[in-house]
Amino acid sequence: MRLLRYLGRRLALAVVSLFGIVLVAFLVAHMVPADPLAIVLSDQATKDPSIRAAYVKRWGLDRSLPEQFGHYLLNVLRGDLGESFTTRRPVLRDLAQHLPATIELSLAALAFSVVIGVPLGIFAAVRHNRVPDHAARVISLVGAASPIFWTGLLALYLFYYRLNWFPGPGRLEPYLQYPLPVTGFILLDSLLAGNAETFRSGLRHLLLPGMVLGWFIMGIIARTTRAALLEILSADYVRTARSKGLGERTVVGSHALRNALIPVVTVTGLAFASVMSGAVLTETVFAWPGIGRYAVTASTHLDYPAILGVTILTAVIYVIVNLVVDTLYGVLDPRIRVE
Amino acid sequence: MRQFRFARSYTRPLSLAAVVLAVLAVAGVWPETVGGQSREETLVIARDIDDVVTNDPSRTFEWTSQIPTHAAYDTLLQIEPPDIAQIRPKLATKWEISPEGTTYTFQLRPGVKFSSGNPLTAQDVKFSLLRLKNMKDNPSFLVGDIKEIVVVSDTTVKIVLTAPNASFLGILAGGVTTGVIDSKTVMAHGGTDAENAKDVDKATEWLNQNSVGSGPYVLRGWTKNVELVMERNPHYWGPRPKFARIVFRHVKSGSTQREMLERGDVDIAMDFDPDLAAKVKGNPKIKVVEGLTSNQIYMGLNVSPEISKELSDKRVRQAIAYAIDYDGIIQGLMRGAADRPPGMIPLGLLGVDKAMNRKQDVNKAKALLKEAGYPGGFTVRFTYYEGLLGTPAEAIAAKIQSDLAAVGIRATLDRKERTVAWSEYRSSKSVMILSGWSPDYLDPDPYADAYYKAGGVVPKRVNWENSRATELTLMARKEQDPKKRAAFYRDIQQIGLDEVPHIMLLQPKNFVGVAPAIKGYVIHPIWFVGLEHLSR
Repeated sequence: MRLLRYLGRRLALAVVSLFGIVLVAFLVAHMVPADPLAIVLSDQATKDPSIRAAYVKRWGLDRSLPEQFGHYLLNVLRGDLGESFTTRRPVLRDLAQHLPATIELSLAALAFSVVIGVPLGIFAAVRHNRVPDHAARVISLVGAASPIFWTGLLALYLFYYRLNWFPGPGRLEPYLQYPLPVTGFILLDSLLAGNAETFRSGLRHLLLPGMVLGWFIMGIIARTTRAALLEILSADYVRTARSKGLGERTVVGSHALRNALIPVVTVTGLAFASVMSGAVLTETVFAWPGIGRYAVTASTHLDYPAILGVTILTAVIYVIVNLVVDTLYGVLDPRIRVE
Repeated sequence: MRQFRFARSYTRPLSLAAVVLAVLAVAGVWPETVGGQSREETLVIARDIDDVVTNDPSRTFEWTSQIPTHAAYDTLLQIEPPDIAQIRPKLATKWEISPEGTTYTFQLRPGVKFSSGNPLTAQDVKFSLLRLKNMKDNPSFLVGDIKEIVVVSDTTVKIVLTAPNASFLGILAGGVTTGVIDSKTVMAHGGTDAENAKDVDKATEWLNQNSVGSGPYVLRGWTKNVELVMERNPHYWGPRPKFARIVFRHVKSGSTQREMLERGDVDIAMDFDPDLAAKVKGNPKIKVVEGLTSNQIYMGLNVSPEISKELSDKRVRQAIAYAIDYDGIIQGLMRGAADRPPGMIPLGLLGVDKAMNRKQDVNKAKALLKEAGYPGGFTVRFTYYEGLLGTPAEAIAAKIQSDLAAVGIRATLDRKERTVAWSEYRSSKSVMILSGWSPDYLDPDPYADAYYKAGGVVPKRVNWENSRATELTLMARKEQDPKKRAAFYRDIQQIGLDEVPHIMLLQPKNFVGVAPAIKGYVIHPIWFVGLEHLSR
């Protein structure tokens, strides 16, 4: 019951912040001194007043700004994010089409960063201030400090173009046709369609961009794991555990690691934000048809409804991730279950 | 602190990591199991296709869309390079123009079928052109002059225009959206050619994913920003198309396209620039095809004294035109990958003669400035934007800035986002701008209309009006005799050279990287490439 009330409060706060985000995004988008019709219509078509009028009416551009905003908010509440200027389709449908690609990529990146980052952090903590620790530090720092488009281009050049260890950009081999979109996730859809070649191709194409994007946050996760574990290993209860004669494996694996994971979970949650923003660049480099690239195209075409749609979606994901992280704390540490 | 023994304490997470890494490695080096036959019969094209918004032939006007629309829907007439001034037959085998130039009668090729299997008749021609007109979308202006269409018989159709228009054949040959669609199938999917088609037509959704034309390939699917797939049309009336399937794969960057081409993952890389073309010279895995586009890179000069006192003086505008090192831009910045017509009508079209080209003359530029009362020059804002039809906009703007500085004109570079620059230009407020244009169809008329006629797209933006140029444009539009028409267009360009509301800088070449095994690639100024000519 207390948990429900807690969640309710969090949700109410989330609604307020969402409103603020929509308002700011709306105002910023409309402050750009450009005419969206200049993008949508051809030069010849703008000369014809009837074609112009048809477009202005279609997108409600003849109304005042507050009116447009009110209208937009009402529509959002009804689940209608408007129609994109550039794709001429409902924004919601565009987002639904592009989101699975980004989620697939983000999950691959998160999996990579956790699977490599946590052991790397443990390794560094255990071999604290010795060669492995320094090596881990270098790997982490380079990953976190390199601009992601640069690592992406470099990885493609080296591992695809030069060495051919990994496939090229895109989600599939260029000649393969996409499986019928049921979930939008290539790995799932190809399995549903029973197409092993497409599944394999999809998996292989996920590796390189996943690692590039994952490396970026792996460093943060490894550093956090190391710091947390070091602190905990010097705690009294760890000494107690050792003095009971427990093996190192049990001490670190069962006693220390679980508590050390709390900050790691926080950081992983926050890292998800980096993954989403990193996805914009990764998707551009790897020709990945996800939300990031959709956002880039939308912003260069001054596609207000699409830009706002992406903003709202990102904000919603943030809110959800934060809720999940907060809930996970409770699972990991009963003391912070509900204040 | 105690030392830990690595082997005992951390085997679990590390062995987990090792397993995962092994899986990744296996997947990474998994041998390619390509169905040889299907890859062989599939043509894969890498191209930036994020401009595609629809595949409905009555709505498309984007660059990429020209390729699939041309491949799916045959037009009545056609134009093939190198001679882009010659109109050739396609679905129409013969045509006649009435003496006053308003009635066009076409004889249709007999026995042509749509990809649906339905026969193509005069009724379909009527439906297609009327639907295009009544959808009131981007390409509708192409057929705005049509008054009525009469179906004389199954193979004869008569088109009546509201006024004589000598470029009408050019529209039917070069405007891919004038292609003929299967009226029965489109109507079955909610399509209509009625006057209120823009409100009641429901076929676009279906036409975005399918096509029903008589062209060599059929649209089989399109995923925005991902891919566009076409397949061979089994009912095609011409020679059997060579590929069973053609896939357009969305790849934004030219250098990534090059890597994929060199790896053999794609057969054609469409977005090469001059630098990339020079880089792969001598590479045995890439054949570079080049061809002159009908695109234009030009400067617009606002003649309104309210916008710029200096530019409102004709002599100042002439001085600017004389100050520019045209050859330096083409040789130095474009690596020679461009040509230059004298005015705003592209090379290859009627009445365009390079002998009229203006040459750089710094002394004349200085003299003109002095005469106009600016011996010490003046300061002017020069707007440009990136994304200028594949040319290095920033470098061109900087080069012009330094050319102008040599005669005393201080241009302040004003880089804007494309959308912002366009908005300002369209509201006639840019002072001096670097901009571009790509062709609607291959005839001088749309260029005369857009650049020289009062109220035309560009004259309006630079606040320029010239009654003689307007008159000549209208006369040339009515004139059926090509010789007289050409003379009118020469006069029009001369007025532009004298008045300088715009300065033609260059007409760029287009470069495409092609796998050596692919034959038949010829660059087309409108639809980039005719897929029917390609084979492996």
